[in-house]
Amino acid sequence: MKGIKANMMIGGICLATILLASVIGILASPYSALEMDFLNRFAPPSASHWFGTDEYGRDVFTRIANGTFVSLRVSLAAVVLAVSAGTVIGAATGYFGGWLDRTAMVCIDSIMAFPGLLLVLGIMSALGPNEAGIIFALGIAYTPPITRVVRGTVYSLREREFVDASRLIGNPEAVTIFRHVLPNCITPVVVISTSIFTAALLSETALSFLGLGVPPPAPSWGSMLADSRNYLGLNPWMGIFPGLAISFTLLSINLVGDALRDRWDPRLREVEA
Amino acid sequence: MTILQVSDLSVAFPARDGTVRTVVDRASFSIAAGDVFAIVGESGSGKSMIARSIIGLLPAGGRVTSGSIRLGGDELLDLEPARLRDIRGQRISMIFQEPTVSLNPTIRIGRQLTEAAERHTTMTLADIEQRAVDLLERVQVAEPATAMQRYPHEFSGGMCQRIMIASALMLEPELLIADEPTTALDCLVQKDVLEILLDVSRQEGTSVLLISHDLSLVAGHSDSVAVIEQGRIVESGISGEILARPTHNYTRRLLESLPAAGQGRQSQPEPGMVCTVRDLVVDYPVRRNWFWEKPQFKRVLDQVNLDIGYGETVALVGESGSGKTTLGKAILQLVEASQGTITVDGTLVTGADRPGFQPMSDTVQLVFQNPYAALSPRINVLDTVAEPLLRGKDTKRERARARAMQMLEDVGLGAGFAGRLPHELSGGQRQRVSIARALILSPRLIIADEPVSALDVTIQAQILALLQRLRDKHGFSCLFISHDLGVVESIADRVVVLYRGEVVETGDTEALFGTPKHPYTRALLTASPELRKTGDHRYEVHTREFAEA
Repeated sequence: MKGIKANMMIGGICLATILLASVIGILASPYSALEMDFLNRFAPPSASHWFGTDEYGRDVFTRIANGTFVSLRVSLAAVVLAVSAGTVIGAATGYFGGWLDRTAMVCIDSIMAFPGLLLVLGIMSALGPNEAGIIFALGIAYTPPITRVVRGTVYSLREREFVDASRLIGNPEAVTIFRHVLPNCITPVVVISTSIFTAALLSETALSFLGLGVPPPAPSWGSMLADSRNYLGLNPWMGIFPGLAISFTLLSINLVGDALRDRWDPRLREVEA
Repeated sequence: MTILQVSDLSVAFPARDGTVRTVVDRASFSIAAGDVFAIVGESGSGKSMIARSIIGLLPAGGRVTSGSIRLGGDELLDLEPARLRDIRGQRISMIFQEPTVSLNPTIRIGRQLTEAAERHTTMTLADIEQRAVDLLERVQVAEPATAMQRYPHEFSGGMCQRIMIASALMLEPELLIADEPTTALDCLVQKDVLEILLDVSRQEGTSVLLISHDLSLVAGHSDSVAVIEQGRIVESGISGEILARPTHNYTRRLLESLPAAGQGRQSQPEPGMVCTVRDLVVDYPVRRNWFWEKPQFKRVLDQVNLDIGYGETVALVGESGSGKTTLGKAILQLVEASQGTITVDGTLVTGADRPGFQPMSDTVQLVFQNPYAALSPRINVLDTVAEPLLRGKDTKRERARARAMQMLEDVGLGAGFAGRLPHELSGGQRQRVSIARALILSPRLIIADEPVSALDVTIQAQILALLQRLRDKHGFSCLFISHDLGVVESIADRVVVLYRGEVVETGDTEALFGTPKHPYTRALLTASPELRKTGDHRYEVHTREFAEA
């Protein structure tokens, strides 16, 4: 049990540090994310510019800090969208089965047939490169795996005796689903949401890297990485620090996800007792 | 001559809080050559742990903390892994409870039988195969030569267990450990498999260590017995003496818990029928490969008729696959009837005019077999029991909870249980919650689907007594589905025997158990020996016999 607590501690502390540093970076930094300073271009890390400056003399630390909230906001919203849609579709198809299930699964399978990023690019070309567009595109792209997981879980739960018991005491199907079926899907959904959260974060970064994310000059980890490519040999801080920010955020989210799974699974608690 | 000598054996597992939990506590016994030695006890008593420590297969974390296990002249606990492997293959073998998972599904029977012999002997492959065919024939597998070429899934559970027996005896071991070898099998098959196991072992001169929870089976088939309670052997000796005249309190309590005929019969059934089933047919769809194929059906119930009177307890008996659960589910409208009618408390629940599921929750309720799956894992005991009352919005939550608390008291669970989650309860306690939930709407009919099959014999006796007490108090009728004839004889007014989807015999319990008419019923009744109480702490093994009709 100690290992699980360590996961939660390390992941939580990392995530909290990242968020706290970002808040400090936004509130306490004397610079703004967009303010250019051509006298200080390519300044190396120092006391006044902790992570150095970029080709326009903008403070890298401040830009990373602002980027944190852009990235987390976009990917979190995308995950919320995907989880809501996936849970509703998955629960309905898994519980009722039949033609509804078959039709929905054909759609889901067709979406899954496209490579994720390609699908996102396609949707975004229709919606335009703005924040709502990215969220919507990522949300759709990550709905199928959630749907699959929820459907599979619901499908097996439906055969359990306590679901029969709920129907027999006269509960309407909706009550049975919400009270007896869905709460038992929390664990797999939490696990897959955290992994999808990290995937969405990566996708968002990749989109910005390609210049299709949140439109410039707004700061974003992906676009910072893209900008740093030409100067990486002489001014590595421009790429290293956004890269580290991405890795640490992903790692800590995964650690927290692991810990949540261990905590929320009643079967694991049973072993503990 | 003694084959196996176990002395002062203790086995411990590390507990989570850093302490050590002893699961076997200084167990000592010895097995004589050619003997059948049985260890009986309830689940969690440590009987399997003894078996597993003999063969060196304790689950992860488990450790032998003291004692010795001697096989012939060798101390098994001191052997290096390589030597132990030789002993495991050649001198001790083991068969497990679930035959269908003990055999590797991707390997032909023949290969699985010869594998160990090829490794451990110098016999030629032809000789080994000859011995395998020979053994298969002796465990009565049909066409042994062809069977060698087949895969496990082509055999039934009983046949798989016979193959396991053959495989275990391939190398003429000195000791065969059989851990609940027939528990997963149907009653009739159980008898055959056990007899074959013991016969062939006897012919081969192999001693058998039989691990079981079934007292009647042990009494009927073993030479010596050890009774184990919470890791301690409380009594051991010759089976005939120990089980016929138990002296230790625990053994007495176990035997006392065995269901006895006519314990809880109900004297005065009321007029009228709470449930009538007429010409019921249920078909299950068989999976199609292509959607244009014609739908295929398997007939699970064929022209079944059943009547249950108010206040009456009717037992539904049959082997697995006979359709007894399906009949229960049809009455509850959990499966759809293809033909025929079911009337519950005067209301027609099947037929063209009643499509879809319309619960009759106030009239008929179900108690499940598996107490582990019957309760919603994230809802506490009190809310589980109160839930049926809260369907209508007019019921106040407080009043429902108060009523549920009363019901919990009724089934023997105090206020301390109200806030617990299902995984914090034992099997028997869960079954009590399940019963409370079924009874809180005061239904006229309870369908109890193997309600005590998953429970230990002492808990089983408690739950049966509880059901009877509640039946006297609330006056419900009961359709009691079971494969256990002892339980049925103790609780039912009337018995209905189901065989392959058809009702083959029905009658009052006493009449049917006394003079069964259908050959299948007779076979069922003769299949299981039974421990009968003859006096104060006096028992005898009783096998029913009937003249051919």
